[in-house]
Amino acid sequence: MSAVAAARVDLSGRGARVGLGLLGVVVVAAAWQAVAAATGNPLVLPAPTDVVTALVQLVTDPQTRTDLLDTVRRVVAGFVAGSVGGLLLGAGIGSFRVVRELLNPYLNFLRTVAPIAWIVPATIWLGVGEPSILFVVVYAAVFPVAINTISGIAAVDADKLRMARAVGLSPVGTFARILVPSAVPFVMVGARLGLGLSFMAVVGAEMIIGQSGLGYVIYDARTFSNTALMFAGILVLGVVGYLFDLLFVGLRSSLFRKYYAGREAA
Amino acid sequence: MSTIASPEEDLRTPVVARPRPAVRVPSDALARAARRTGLTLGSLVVLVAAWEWGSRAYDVPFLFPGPLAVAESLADNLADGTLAASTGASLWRIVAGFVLGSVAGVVVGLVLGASRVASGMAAPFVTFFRFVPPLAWFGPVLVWFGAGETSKVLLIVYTSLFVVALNTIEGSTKLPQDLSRMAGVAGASWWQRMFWVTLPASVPYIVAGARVALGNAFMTVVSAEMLGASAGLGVMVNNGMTSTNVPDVFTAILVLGVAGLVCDRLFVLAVNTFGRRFRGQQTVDVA
Repeated sequence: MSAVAAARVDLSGRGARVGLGLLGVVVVAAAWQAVAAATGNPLVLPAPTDVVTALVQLVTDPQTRTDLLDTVRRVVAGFVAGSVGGLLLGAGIGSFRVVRELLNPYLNFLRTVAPIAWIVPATIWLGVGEPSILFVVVYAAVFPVAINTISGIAAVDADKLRMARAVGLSPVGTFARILVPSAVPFVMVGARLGLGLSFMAVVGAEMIIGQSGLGYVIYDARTFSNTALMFAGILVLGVVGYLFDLLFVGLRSSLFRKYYAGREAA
Repeated sequence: MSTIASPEEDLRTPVVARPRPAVRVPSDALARAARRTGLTLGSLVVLVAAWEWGSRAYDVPFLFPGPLAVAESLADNLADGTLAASTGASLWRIVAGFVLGSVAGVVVGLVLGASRVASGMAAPFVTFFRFVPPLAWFGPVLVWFGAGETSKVLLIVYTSLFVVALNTIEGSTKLPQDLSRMAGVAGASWWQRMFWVTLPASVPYIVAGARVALGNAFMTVVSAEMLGASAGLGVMVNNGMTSTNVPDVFTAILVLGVAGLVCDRLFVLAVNTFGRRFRGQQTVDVA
């Protein structure tokens, strides 16, 4: 027992976590390689080495790189437009109790409908192409942001509002100095969810009506039974999504630091 | 409060929080409820009227069906049983995938929460898979499991698993160590502590994750069905597209929204009914 206790290392450090993570990746990759070799059919399970080759091709080939950039562009455009829209919508709805009570049921209804279901009306109204894909991405981003903005405004400390009234702060001042700071952390939670949903929506839309993009590449790879390319596409999606999330959190903590005073900005 | 307030900000469900009511006399609450119902009904009438008017004013009413056309399609689909079959097929997939995925998520979460080595090794994968949309797996899943039910249910399992697992990890690692130690001192084995201490303490987090997972399941089922299935609401949407039967598409969307809303409400109701004893401790508010 004592030998085990002595050999036990501290696993909570950053270095230990990175090391364990790398170990995990190596173990899984080795197991994957072994299973792939045992299966012996790259159409069913391509080996990690094949996937890496396909991945390098996907990123270096100008054609597929355009697909990657198309997806990124759609996510960014749709997410920004949707978030701004959601913010305005949420602020408008959240600031007036009557409007909130009036529109709440509809927001909750629309939020439950999968963005991808709107691809059909979108294509009928906007045609098969870019606007329809963007519509679906915007739809995916609007509701989390709007609903969290409303929550943020509703969660404002009533005492702060009373204090603002007591010191004679104007409605505009109350909005800018009390409501906005209280709502920002909520808005950011919504925006982060919206970013993830935008990635989901864009892949679905590209698979169904897209002529380019990572979703299209993955769908196309299936038609041509290019399983390695399918996996490469999945890998790129995961990495790009992760990088965007990192970027979002980084921007949030640098741009909106002051709104997180006294709380833990996760 | 209809909010599940997961203490972890980033994992919180997006739900509309109403301002915490001050102490209020019941008759006042009743009047408020009546007023709210009146508002909703009134706005619904206005909305439906505006929708019908918009549809008639649109150049090609056929492409922008009004509420009457949608109601007609709804009645038709109800009468010939299409709607019941589609909704049943979709709901079955959602429930199967959601239950399997949530249970697997809890197990994975507890294991990862209990072992530093396991969680360290799994961390890159958990982070990675979180960002791979379920639909991206459509191809591989199809190759491995064919075009049948298994594939579609698995995609839903996938969307549910990670949200629930992440929340479970969060809950089990935030467990006050003293509770677990006390159980140990009282003679509880590792398994007993896991089942009687860690799991109950994680329930509020698990519930918050499961509610998000339920929403995800509704989103995933539609796209999975649109890419290939014989029945389901997603199929209805897709058929509506190929045969330009727009009212059918709207009917499917309407049913999807209502079913999603009803399931969410039922989930909250179930949590409020059966989850009371897990509430408390910390400041966690279960729905």
